[in-house]
Amino acid sequence: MMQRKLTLALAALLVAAPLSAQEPPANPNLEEARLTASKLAWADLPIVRVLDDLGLSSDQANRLQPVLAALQAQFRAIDTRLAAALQAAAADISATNKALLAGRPAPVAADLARYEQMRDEATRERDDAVLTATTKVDTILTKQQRALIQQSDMATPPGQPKPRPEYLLKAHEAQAQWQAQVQQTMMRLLQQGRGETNPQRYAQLAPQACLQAAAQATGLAPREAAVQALAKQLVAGLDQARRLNPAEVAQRIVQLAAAMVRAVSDTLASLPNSGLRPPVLVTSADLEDLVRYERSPLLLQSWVRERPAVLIEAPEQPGV
Amino acid sequence: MRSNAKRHRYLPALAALLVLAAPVVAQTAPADTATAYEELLIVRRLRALQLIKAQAEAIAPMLQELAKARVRADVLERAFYLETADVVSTWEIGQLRGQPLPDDVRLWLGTACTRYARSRGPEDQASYATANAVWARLSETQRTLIETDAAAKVRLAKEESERRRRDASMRLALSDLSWVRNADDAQYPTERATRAEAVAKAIRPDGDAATLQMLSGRMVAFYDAVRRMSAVQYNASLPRLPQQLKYVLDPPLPKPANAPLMTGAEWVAFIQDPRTLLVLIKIMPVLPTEVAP
Repeated sequence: MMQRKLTLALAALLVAAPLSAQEPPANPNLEEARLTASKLAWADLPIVRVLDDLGLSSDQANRLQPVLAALQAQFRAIDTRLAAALQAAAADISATNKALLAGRPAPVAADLARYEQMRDEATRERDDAVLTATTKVDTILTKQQRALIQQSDMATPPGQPKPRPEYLLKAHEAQAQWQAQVQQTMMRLLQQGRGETNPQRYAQLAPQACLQAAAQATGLAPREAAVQALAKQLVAGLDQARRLNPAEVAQRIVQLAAAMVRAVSDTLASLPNSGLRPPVLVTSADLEDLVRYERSPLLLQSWVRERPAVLIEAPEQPGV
Repeated sequence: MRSNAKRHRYLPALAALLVLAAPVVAQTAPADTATAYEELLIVRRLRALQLIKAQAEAIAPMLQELAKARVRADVLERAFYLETADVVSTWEIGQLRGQPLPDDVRLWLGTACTRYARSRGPEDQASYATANAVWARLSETQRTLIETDAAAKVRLAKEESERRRRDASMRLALSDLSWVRNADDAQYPTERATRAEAVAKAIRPDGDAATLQMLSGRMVAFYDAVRRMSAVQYNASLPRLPQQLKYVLDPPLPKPANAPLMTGAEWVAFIQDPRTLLVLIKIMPVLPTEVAP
């Protein structure tokens, strides 16, 4: 009786499952492509976050990219070897499966044993390759970036599970809000800078406005050397914004604001335990995720391409 | 009491249905060697658990519930990924460009995430309850084969602490290498032991004197080997030195004899996998009726 119920229920489940999923999409291939793209973007986000939190420069990204691409090539070579060994063990796998399902002892299966030994070795080989790559990555990171990782490790209990995609937004809410707030301040500053038509007045007011904005964004006193250095970078952003022609304003001004947010972020990163920015944590486990992630080489290329504009400070003119 | 033959009258039909029906069975058919190997792992695990027939019969409907729940969870997950496809791409590009998500988009995404998490909640709770019911059917001996969540947490934390310590000590040791190569002959013999001890303490801060001595001895031997290399040998060995150092500091240990058959996470994935139910049904006729003495 129980088996009959089980059979009927399972049959109902299996028939109902695909029906309950959704109405058949107009273009199944398109839907599958959207699904894959979405899954990849969700998987990319924590890795991009690591790049962002580390404040990786374009130069560093360019140096990291070949290291991580080589690691992925090593992974692929290991996978290819394993796939060949698995194929060679096909007959053994089938025979062992049959025997065990029939309640007989597993037969002697040399090819299967060889494959399983290779599998164990491959795990070790991958770990070793990651270790070697991480050592190289380490030499590319700055002292501050390594210090951030060390501090994050100390602040994070080991073995924490990673948040599921749907919790990613929440996990970084405070950081996102801070970023949005600073972005708004910078946009206002850029608009004010572009709005000032009198060059002399601009030259007089811009440094003071930028110093105020730098102090406001960092929560530090204007007399601090770091705030003054940041203010100079912000003035550079304003100068660049004033030189934009009307056709490129819409796109470039947002990029400049993002670059100014990055400048604020970098300033705060160099001054631990200060400022208004929520604490940034990049643990060594996060770095290892970046090193291992299949799409990291691709993301690093995008990072270089999409990275905000660089704030170029005008050389100081004597007597000005 | 029904005879075994009668009891399993519907099993072939059930198995046939499983094989014919999509999409669950798309994951279960041994279409290629990789799938066949995964199925072999399931068979081995089920055999290693040494289930008796009564247990298998009691567990099978629970596995069916879990498989159903997994299908529903997959449907919800698919809908979530499709719903958020455009916004998450915008988010990713924005993050690459250093631009925050606009407020309205962030709000929309936050609502979609909360809605999805809430829709998963009852399913996850029901699955957790069913998984506990499966667990309750196992004997004490069988339970020892599966790592508990608490034990897994402790193990993962320990593994990560060890990895962090190993990485820190490796950084220290690798930064010593240029000194090892360039120190003068008068300085090297006296200072190498101090440096080796520092590395040993970094990897085993709570290690006893004997362990630290053993580790620093190994480090000294490693430093000596690196120092003896010719320039050509050293340059050729450089890419492999981190791995060699890892084996010096943290040699791989054989799997302990009492290692669990499955971790807690593997166990949950195992009982939710529809193929486990399929295999369980296949092996049911050959399961013993009593626990072997």
